[in-house]
Amino acid sequence: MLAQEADHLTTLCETLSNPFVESWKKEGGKVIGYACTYMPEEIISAAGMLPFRLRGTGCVGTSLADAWLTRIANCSFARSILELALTGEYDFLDGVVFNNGCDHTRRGYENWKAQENTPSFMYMLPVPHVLTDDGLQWYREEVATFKNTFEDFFGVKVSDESLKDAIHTYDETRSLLKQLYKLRTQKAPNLTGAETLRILVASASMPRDEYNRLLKVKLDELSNRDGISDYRARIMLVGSTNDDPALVELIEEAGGLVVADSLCFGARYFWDMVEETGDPMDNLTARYYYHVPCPRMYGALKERLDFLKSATKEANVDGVIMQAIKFCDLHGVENAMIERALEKEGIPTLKLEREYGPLADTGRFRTRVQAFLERLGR
Amino acid sequence: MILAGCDVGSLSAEALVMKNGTIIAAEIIKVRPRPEQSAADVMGLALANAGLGYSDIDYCVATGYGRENIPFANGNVSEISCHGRGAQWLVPSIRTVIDVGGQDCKVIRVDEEGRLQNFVMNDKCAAGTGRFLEFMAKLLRVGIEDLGPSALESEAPVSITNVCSVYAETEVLYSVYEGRATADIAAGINRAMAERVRALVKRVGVEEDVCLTGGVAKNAGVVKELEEMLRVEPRGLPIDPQLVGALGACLFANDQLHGSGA
Amino acid sequence: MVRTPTLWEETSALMGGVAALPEDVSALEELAKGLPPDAASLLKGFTNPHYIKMSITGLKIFNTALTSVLERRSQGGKVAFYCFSFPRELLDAMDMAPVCTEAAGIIPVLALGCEEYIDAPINAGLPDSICGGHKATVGMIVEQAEITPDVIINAGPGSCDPNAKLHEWMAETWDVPLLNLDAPYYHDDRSFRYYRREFRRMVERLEEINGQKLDYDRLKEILEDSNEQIRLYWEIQDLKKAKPYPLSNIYCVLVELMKYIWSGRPEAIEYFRIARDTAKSLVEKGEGAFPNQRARTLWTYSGIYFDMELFRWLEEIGVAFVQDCFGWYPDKVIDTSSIDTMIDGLADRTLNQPMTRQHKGAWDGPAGWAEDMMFLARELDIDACIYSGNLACKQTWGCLRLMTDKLKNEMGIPTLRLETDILDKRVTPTPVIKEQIEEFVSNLA
Repeated sequence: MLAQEADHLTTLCETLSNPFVESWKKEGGKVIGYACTYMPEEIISAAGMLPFRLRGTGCVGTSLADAWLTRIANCSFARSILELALTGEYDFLDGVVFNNGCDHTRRGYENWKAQENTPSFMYMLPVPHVLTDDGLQWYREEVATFKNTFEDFFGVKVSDESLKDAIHTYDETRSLLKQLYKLRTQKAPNLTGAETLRILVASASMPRDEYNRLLKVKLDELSNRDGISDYRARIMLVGSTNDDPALVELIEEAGGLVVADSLCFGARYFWDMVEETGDPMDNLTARYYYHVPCPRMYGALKERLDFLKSATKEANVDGVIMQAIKFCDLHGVENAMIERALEKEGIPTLKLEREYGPLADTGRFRTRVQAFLERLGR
Repeated sequence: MILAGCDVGSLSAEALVMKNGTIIAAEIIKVRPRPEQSAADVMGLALANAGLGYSDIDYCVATGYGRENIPFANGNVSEISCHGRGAQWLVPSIRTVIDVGGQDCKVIRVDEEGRLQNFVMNDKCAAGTGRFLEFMAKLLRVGIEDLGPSALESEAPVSITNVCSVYAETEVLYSVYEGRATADIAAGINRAMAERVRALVKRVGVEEDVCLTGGVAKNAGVVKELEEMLRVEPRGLPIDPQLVGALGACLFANDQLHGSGA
Repeated sequence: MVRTPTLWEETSALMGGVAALPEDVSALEELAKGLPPDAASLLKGFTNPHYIKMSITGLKIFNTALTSVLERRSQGGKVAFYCFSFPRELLDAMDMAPVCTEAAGIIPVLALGCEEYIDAPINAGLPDSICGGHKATVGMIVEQAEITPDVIINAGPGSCDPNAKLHEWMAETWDVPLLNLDAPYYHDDRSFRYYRREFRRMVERLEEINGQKLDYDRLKEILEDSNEQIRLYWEIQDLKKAKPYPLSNIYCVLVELMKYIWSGRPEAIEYFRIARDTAKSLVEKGEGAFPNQRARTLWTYSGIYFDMELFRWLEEIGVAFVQDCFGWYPDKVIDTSSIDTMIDGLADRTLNQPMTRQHKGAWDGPAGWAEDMMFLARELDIDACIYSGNLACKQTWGCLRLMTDKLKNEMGIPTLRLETDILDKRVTPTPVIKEQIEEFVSNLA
């Protein structure tokens, strides 16, 4: 029974909304969408609402969104989310909080906001692009303003107590996910990279307490499962956001087991804990500001490379596949720097350009991934 | 020991059979609507030539766009590895293979044993592939096989600067209306083609010796332009360059049969 | 080994002939005949008969801007690359050799037509979606046709991802310090205070790298020149309101170069004085800079920089290039009474530079793109807008529909949407652009 329930963790990523969200709404609960790892979810959770990470799941074309964001310059991830917003798929949201993560998503937010039919609460929480004491102060002030505005709008109060509880719950998730990732570092990992991603996407699509409960069951099940040993090579996946297991499956079908990542819907999402002693807002904002940085943070390349390199060692990685969504300059340029740094240390890399959404170019991808594995000599 | 390699591309299909390390048959055909058909037809021809049947093959590796759909193949290897391996086997000093096919263009770096070191591929854009030449040959109303020889007579190649084939078409048409010599236009087309290929080459760098494979390798005009741009003299290959993929596949068949394959 | 002569040396030498030109259209045309096709096309943009003097003064920049960097460098000055929306006055006051990243690539390509450098960054592993404004600069250095900088100042964070990320790549690739300036999202006092602190930290860091402190007297001198430039700029902005339009279209693109490359230098003041005097005399006579004017246009982002001849061609078809976003800097005169007022003044100015100002925050926020464009459209009595459509420009493409709808719905002003590469003429060729502009203008009410 429990094991069956835990199966939800692998299927939630296949649809946008899901039975958990539906029953939450039915019981009068509110759902707040967010786009980026710089959004302190715990505040929303502490207010008794469900944070839901935005995805473009189910989007098969972007013809409506393309009339606002463009096909010729804007990324398919931002366009897919906007498309779902325009076709009413995101009508279940009571609010949406964006960060100025990148040019594409911030404009995506602005286009969404300009429509007639939008969630009633639309908020932009700007984050500095550098990691400085001043920047942390700014971020703190922004988060405080957000919290106050959010509380006023919905007529709720987020007490320090409730925030501490939420932090505790989220930290529990983080520990559990770290355990999950530890399983992947083994010689015979208990789960594939695709399955890992499914479990991760589930974390941001359902109530967190429930998720932790199911994840514990899942971890138990996985630890007792036979490890996977029939793979050609151990791969680390980095680059632009990805919430679609199909991309990972494609690599794994060719024989490249994905045993590590530094994706934002991956390790970067949960790696750092929130300190639990002391002022919760201070701890929350410090953690979110300083968590494993996204390429949007300037002057933090070394931190990102260090994170990458230690992950390759821990998981015994044979090669790194770096992908970037077309027009994603943050990751596209970042990948050029990573390629150089890793190849210099003798770690083979493959650069791929892709689109978000149903992978139109699977054939081309397969050839490149296969050739890369052949290059690895596996 | 009878080994076979089958390369099913998007425009042509090749089959090559080796017996005890020597090539005994090789065929090239235009593709059929379905890859299985192309594979069966071309392999059928090659086997017939050698007086053999499918049951005589000890191991067959398929490559190319249709490689996963070949029922008689025992394994498949990417065309990237196959082109690199095949070329290096033919001329052991080869370290860089430039493969300009009908619909894509690849640059492949190999080591002294033909093992894949690095590669880059362009398969999104017509410019820099055989399709560009086909398109342009049609505009000039010449056969694609004439683009090379006619260009060699050119003294003043037309300059075709547009990156996109669509605008390049306008430039070519304009040159025709202006009454520029076909040789000069052909040379301009070859040069534009070579420039796109060169751009790709620079992404992985070039180590000599270099060779050209794929259908476009037969265009003397493009080859000449590339030579000048890259400042290398590509080595010729002792077999039809279009067969290099199938040859590589055959060599991988040997590896896989003996348990050391890709 | 970097080749000799380097591209800048080559460009500078080629354009040197311009400095000695008499103020005569036919002399300019004669010179153009003897130059290679790209340089010749470049000169053709500058042949408005009323504005020869201004044009020649402006053209000198193609020679002296690069030469002065080379000179400073040979005297031991550290080469600082800065994103265009940054005040070079600061770097001059520190005896550094300032190079506007974008201009460093654009100028040689314009003069020498060396497009192969635009393709070169791809060889270094960079995606082809980065901005053309940087491709040539990076390409030249990658191909060893130019020398690497000593420090990189990144003023892009917040307003443009490709710009900022490329500057990071450059610093990482050439192993030089990267100084980031984070533009805050808003335009209020708190934001300006945050930015002033950012700016000061950058100045301190720059002093460390440069090995000498900022010279108060030198800065004061330079800023007073810069202030004079700004006063003249504002006078000319007022003169622009006249009908018929009294300036040559080339004024706008030169204004950008004056700001990004020549700000605070006597040559810039001379340029603006000539422009002001010429415009003033035309306005007094009720004359336009060119006949048969039929449309006053606002280019909502950049101009088109790969074919300067377009600016003159627009005059020939009666279209005035009245203003563009890149040439709009609502600068205030800086208080030079103390080092604090000067640094704060520079910081405030930088946050108001084109691109940073309009795109660090919401498209429709205070000092945002919509507000600025509508202000300019009103002030300058604009008939139509043109969006040059640099394909790499994600943040403007991403809200272009919102922008063009707003201009149409609230002001009745239509926008022509072009698709081009800011520097690479091979992407959308000039004849196609001309056709689209012609059709658009002929359909205006």
